[in-house]
Amino acid sequence: MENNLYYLNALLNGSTSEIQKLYNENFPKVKRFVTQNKGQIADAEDIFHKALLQITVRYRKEKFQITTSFEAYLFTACKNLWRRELNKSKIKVTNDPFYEPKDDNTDLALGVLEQKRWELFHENIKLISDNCKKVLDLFFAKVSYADIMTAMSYNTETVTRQRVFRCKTKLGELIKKDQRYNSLREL
Amino acid sequence: MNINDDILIEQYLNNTLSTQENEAVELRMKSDPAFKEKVLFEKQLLDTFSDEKWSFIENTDTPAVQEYSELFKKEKKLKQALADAKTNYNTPKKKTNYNWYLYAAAIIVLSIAIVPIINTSPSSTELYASYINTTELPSLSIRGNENTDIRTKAQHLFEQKKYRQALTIFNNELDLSKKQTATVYLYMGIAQIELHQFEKAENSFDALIHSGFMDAPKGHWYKALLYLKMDKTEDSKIILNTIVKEKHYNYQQAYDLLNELN
Repeated sequence: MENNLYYLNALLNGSTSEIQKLYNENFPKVKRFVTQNKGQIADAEDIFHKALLQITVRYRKEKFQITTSFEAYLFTACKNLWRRELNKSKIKVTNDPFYEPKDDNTDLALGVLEQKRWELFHENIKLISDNCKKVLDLFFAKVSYADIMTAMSYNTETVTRQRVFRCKTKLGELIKKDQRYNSLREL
Repeated sequence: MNINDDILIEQYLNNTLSTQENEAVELRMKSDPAFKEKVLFEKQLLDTFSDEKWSFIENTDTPAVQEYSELFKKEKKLKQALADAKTNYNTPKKKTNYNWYLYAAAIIVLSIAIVPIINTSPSSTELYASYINTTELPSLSIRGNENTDIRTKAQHLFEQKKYRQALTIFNNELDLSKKQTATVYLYMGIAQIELHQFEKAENSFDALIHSGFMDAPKGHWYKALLYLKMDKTEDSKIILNTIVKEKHYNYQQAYDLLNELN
């Protein structure tokens, strides 16, 4: 997509006028999303900057493909980063030990790798059968086995569990076969 | 992996195993790397595909993290360009030489014509849905607390929106006289709102407000949201004004919400 390259090159080169245009066109939507989801304007600015940095560094390093419009991709990256921030606060409250980034750049690095894993998983779930996808959508939404059984017209909960298990196994196989998984499995 | 392990891992990650079973799983993870990998992968799946959670990297000290970290350090030019774009985005545009009276008249005419047709002000129930945020509630589990298992179970039921079952635990199995109950009152009140037990929800938030706990002021915010849900907008506004004035918990959001209600 031509527009994507326009923005990606502007980011790579730090071109001020194009970046200003990108900012003016895309920030309002991100600001609205964050402030409607318990954030402040400063949070929205932080998230927006992090997403653009994330995209730039990834593109500079590996020229990854953006298969949607640049705007849509940027918005998804911002939504994920905001979800990440909200969950970070939750982890701090529960005192979970593992999340202690050394500095801002390390936190950005973790964010980019987590985003890569998110994309890997989400792209692969699109490859399984429609039926399996429906089952897993219900399962991941924490719908009970009894309700999945009803929704999918299975005979028993045991059959439902087996079906969920098979679909999850299939998804796991696809993810692990994807060449991107090797670089992410140790994380 | 066989289905029995799958069920075991699911129960482990959902915190529904007994203490002994939990310890057995953790012991097995230490001695069986393949099993540990399955547990971690299952957790990644659940966190990635949940709308509310996020799958964090657990191994933060890898070459990949260091490599990206170095790359981010080098992006000084872009960081500066973004800071400049932010400044310019916030700068008000220069006033131009237009006729204020003409614009004002046009706005008034348009407002009168359009507002009744596209009245998009959110209802109080919509505002409630927009402002209630259970993801920011503190965890119920407290390390070393004798009721950790039961609290985890209650929180899990709450997160699954099984409010009735969660309330059964809150009401029957937790000792509300203990100090860590401020959070329990919040969970109880919200569960009661969701079940339309408005009077009981009000009692829960009042109990919190008058408890003397450090988190007592949170009760005001949730009581204001309760009134919104009950469509008692004026009562909600009174509490929100107090929150803003006294700078209680969430006073900035209270200010925003008041603006939306006015």
